[in-house]
Amino acid sequence: MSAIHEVYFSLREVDNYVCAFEEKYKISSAEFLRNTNPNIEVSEDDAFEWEAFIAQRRELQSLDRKTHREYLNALERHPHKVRKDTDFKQACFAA
Amino acid sequence: MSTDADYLNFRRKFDQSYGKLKLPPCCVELKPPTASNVHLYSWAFDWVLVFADDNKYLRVRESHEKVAGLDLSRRMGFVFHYGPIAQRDTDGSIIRQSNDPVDIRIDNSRGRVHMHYRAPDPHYGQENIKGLTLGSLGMLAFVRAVFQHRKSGKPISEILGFQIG
Repeated sequence: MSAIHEVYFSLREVDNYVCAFEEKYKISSAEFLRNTNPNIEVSEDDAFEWEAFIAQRRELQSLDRKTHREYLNALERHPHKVRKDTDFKQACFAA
Repeated sequence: MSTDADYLNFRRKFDQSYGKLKLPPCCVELKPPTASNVHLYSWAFDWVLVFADDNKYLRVRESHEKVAGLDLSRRMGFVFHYGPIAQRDTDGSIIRQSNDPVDIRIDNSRGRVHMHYRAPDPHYGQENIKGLTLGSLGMLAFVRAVFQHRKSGKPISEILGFQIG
């Protein structure tokens, strides 16, 4: 077993962290990454976290798109099976 | 910037070194080694150690991202910090302000690798540091250097082998 603890945040949680930094410094993440405004001084610890959360958001968004694409591909390959599964789930919800 | 093939490789190497690392008696893990949002080629790492005898702490953080177009990750951001605890939050976590006293801090905030040594200012860029390539320093080498400094009393500059000039 590894000594490293692993924790996971959802895309929404990561997005909230990114938004909190944008609100704190009153600049967008794009402006922060471009680093063009000399009047905005982001603390080193905040800069580290902000950059890390932006990278994590990018990764989660990419995974999100990949999962959605694979779902759509599965739908094209096996439309009846997916539809049956969906019908079954809807029937369960209705029940 | 240093590269690791992927998270599994990073974790295996960390565990090997961690197993051999002996924490000093007064040292406790305020935050155990923690990796957040782990994917094969991207993750963030954080580890905080506190020295109860003189109220100092050591924190190492890294963020790794995928190298575009390659099945490789690389360390994009890092912060290696050692110095006094100036303030704590109600939950015991450490609050740090940029003007807090520091023994040594090496980071690449905003893409520029630099060192703070014995004071929050100035920021010494690589051009001011002889004998140590800041961007190549590993977190465990930093941790071991701090432990050795505390045990022997030798300056960290001597242990890490750098001079400021």
